[in-house]
Amino acid sequence: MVARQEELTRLLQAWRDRDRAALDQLTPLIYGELRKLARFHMSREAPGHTLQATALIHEAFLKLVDIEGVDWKDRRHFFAAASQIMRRMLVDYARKKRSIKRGRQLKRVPFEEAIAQPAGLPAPVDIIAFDQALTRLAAADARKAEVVEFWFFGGMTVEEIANTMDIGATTVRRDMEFAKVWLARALGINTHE
Amino acid sequence: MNEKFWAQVEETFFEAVELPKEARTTFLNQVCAEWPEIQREVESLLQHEAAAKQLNPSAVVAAAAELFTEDESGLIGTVVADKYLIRSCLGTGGSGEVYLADHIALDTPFALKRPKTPLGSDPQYRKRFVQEARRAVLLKHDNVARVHDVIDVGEDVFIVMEYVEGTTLRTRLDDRGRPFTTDEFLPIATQCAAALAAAHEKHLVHLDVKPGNIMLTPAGQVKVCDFGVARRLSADTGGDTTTSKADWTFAGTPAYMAPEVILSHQFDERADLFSLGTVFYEMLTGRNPFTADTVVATTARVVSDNPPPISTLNPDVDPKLERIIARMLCKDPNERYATATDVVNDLTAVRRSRNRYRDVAESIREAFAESRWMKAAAIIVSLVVIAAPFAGIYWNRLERWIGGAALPERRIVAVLPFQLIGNSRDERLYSEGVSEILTGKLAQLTNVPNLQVVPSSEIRSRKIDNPEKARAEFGATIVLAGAFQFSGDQVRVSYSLIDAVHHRGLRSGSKTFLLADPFTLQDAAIRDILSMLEIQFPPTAQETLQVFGTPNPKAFFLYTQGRGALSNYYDRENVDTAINLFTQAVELDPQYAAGFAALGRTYWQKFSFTKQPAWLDQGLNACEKAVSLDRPLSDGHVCLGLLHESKGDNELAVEDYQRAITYSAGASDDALRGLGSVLEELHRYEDAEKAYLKAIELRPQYWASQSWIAVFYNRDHKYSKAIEHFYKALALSPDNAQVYYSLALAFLNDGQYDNAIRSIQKSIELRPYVAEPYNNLGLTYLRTRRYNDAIAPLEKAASIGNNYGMRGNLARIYWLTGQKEKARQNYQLGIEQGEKLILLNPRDHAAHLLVGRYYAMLDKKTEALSHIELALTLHPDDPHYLTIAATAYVQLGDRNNALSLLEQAVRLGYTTVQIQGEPELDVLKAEPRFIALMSSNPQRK
Repeated sequence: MVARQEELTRLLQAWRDRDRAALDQLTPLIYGELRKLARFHMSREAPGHTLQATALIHEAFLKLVDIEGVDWKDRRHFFAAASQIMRRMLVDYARKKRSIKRGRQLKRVPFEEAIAQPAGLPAPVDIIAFDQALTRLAAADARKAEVVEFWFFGGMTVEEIANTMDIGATTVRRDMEFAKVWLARALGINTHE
Repeated sequence: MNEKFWAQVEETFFEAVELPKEARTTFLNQVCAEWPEIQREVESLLQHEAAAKQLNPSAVVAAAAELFTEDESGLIGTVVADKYLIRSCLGTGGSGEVYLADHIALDTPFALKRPKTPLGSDPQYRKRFVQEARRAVLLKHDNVARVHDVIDVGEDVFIVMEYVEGTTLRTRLDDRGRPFTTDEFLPIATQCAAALAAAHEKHLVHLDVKPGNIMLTPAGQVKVCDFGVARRLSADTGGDTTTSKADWTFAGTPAYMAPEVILSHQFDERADLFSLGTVFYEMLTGRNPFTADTVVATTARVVSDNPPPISTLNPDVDPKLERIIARMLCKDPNERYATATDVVNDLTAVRRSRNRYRDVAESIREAFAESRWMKAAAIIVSLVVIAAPFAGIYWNRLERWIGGAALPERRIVAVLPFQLIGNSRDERLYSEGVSEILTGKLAQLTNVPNLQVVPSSEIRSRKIDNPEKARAEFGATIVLAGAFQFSGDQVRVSYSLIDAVHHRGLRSGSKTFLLADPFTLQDAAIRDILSMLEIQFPPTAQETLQVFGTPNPKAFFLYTQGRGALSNYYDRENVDTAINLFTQAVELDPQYAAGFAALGRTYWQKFSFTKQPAWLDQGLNACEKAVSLDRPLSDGHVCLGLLHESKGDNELAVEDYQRAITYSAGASDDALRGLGSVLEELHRYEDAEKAYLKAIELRPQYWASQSWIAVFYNRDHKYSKAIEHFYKALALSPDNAQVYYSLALAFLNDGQYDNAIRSIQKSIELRPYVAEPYNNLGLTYLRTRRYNDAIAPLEKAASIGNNYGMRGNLARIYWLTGQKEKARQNYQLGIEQGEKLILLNPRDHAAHLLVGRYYAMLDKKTEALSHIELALTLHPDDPHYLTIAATAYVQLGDRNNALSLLEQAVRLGYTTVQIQGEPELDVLKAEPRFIALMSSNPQRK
């Protein structure tokens, strides 16, 4: 476990130093842990239980990395890495799943009616469409896209985002608000007002 | 994006968003007067202000949770309990996930369910869960998805269940959007009740009977799933503190749960009857009687509401059914049926009293059950004729009612050429074309577990025209027979599946089509046949199964006829007919690549009869056209391969076949075999071996690929490898007489005479009417010097086979047993028959060799030597030929030459065992060169 932590820390540092390959190596390490956690959370079938983004992503990392042992600068990068890994993983996963579905037209069998689903979860977004919209947003306004990435995929708070990006909290909030509207339009989300 | 534009939009947006909605337009009109694009953009964004509120990180988390916990739990591709390779996720939900897995050793699919329970937390609880689930293993019934095992591995528990192909009743209910009719309802309902009756007999209560747990196979069989799973959180958890009252809601499904289960945890088998009654109610009315907005409201309705009588929602329902279901839905278990068997009985009574159609159908089903297939087929055919005027409705019913019998576990399917009622030539060509095309399409589905299709070329070349023959030659378990009846602009196609082992009808059906629409016919036929075979229409196979290659129905019709003509190519007139038909087809649609490929292939056929090179060039033109129109069309490349091979351009042929394999993803028999054989022709044995191995890799479930490589190894003198692959072929296709026969040859070559004899006897047992196995049995006895045992089989072979080789073998045994006069007569007969063949084909090396040997036995040296020398010139370097030639030289007194030939044979890979198998060489035993050769102990290849 110690060796693994060291490996992760090393990879995180490499990634901070703009080594893209490091992220590729990090992903599978974190992925397994994340999956286990997600399953664990989902299996707690208590009504009203919601899966917290922060909880999920942080738990995954905390299990793997000695977060207290790294300095603040590394922590920041750690959060940033977490967001990117989460985003990539979800997109890859969703793509893979979609291709399986397209390939075999897998008809899912609802083995249980919906009562065992944890209550209170919002309707899931289409991850692939969201990712594409976010990429387009990045082309127009890279900062806003990064804020969204940290916020949505990293489970980071406004303060954490502001700290990590070295910008004011107000700017983060404004970016969030504008980006959300922009993304909602890009995703074609409508309301019945 | 323009940065200035972007910044302006952002600024304006935030200004506008602060304003009340009514004021925004006025504001925007003012500030954007000079830049209307900004106004449009901001207005468009503002419209999504409310929608943006839905966009939260938790939406991403919800998506993440769904992704992570659904089909991909990381199990796919992994092996569970060292036995099950997880292939894909079949379904997922609150109760857990279900995976499709292959048992690695048995090569059989299973469904693995991983129940989603807090199992890990409590070892006691987990132990009891596993125990409870294991009780279901004892339950065996046709209508129950069998639980094979419960595996407790590390952090997970898996329930290994029978893999059922089909849809759930839930899906069926959702898809159809209308209630079941009484006739649709009864067979399903009866089977559900029968499943419960069987389970209750073993004191297994299901506790979660609901449409989602009832599977329907394409053939109409019901399989109730998940026995032993739901009970996990039931009343018998006793004093377990981890089980609170809230937990049971996740065990069953409230809308189908019996009131006593909800209220008291005091229940017995009759709780399942209530659940099933709810399912029945939903089937006949289209809605669950208790479902409400919330779980609490639903449970309240289950406990206290009496659902409205079924007839108020569906007046067509048989009143007897209404009464049965009302009784199942009684709140008090004591007022319900006492047992599920009682429900089965009452449902059966309703079935019996149903209308006359059903009774007739039932009697036909019984006829099928007890009669031999021919009688059944006769009934079908006569019904088609007699019942034609009102057949539409009638047949649809029949189809369903006969569809009860279960298919053999191993589906080895032979498609017989379709029969034609009537005898117009056009119609005959068309019906033969359809069966040809259908077989070809079915044969491409060899990745379906437990499905083997006998290639149509085998059916044709062995003239298989009835189930007995299909069974005898290929060990077919299922035969698909069909008939066409044309009337005016319509054609009626009827087909039946016949159990070739037990000689009974399994399924049948028929449909009428417009002749002007050959597409629909083929499409529907393939779907019906797949459904009868209980094969889910594979979506990935959509392209291969549904490609017609032309939008022109007339061209497709002509093409189909052409295929029919070509399937009987041994009648040479048909080849000209096929050329004519394909030519017309491509004239109608000059873009018809498959038409050109078929035309090219027909030209090749024409060449192989006439040996006139002009046909090869015609063929090449057509095939090149096909490939240029549709490069991925594998038929075009196969056709080029055949033609190049015939032209001697073997290297080109290799490339053609390789392309065909790539484009067909290994589904083209012709390409796979063609490649192997052309590489052998080029003496590239290692490449040939690789090609055959690749064929196996591409279609691991296909017996013929195993058989091809085995035959190759046998030719290449690698007998142990040959034997190994023949065994694999037999594992996939047991009772395959062809394979037993070939296996015997490999044993024989390997000197394993006892095994050879057993293997041949097995093949004779399977098909006693074929000459070759008798011949080989006799030869085996001959080689082991059991001359007296050899006489009878060789006599039998010569009388059935009546060819020169068998005649000669009979002569050999007479000669070896001292019956010299009989021997001479038969050698003489052999010479006469062999010379006739040589007259037809002066380059027939096998005939030259044997005729030469027979002349030698008759001491006619000149004739003998001229034939033998010619044979060895035409076909050099074959150790088998050299050895036979050596026996002739021995007889002619030229021992030196005989020994040289034998030494050469050994150098080419012949073994001492094989040489010692020739009794005619025994006289050499004292020769020092022979002794030296035999002790050189050549390595077996």
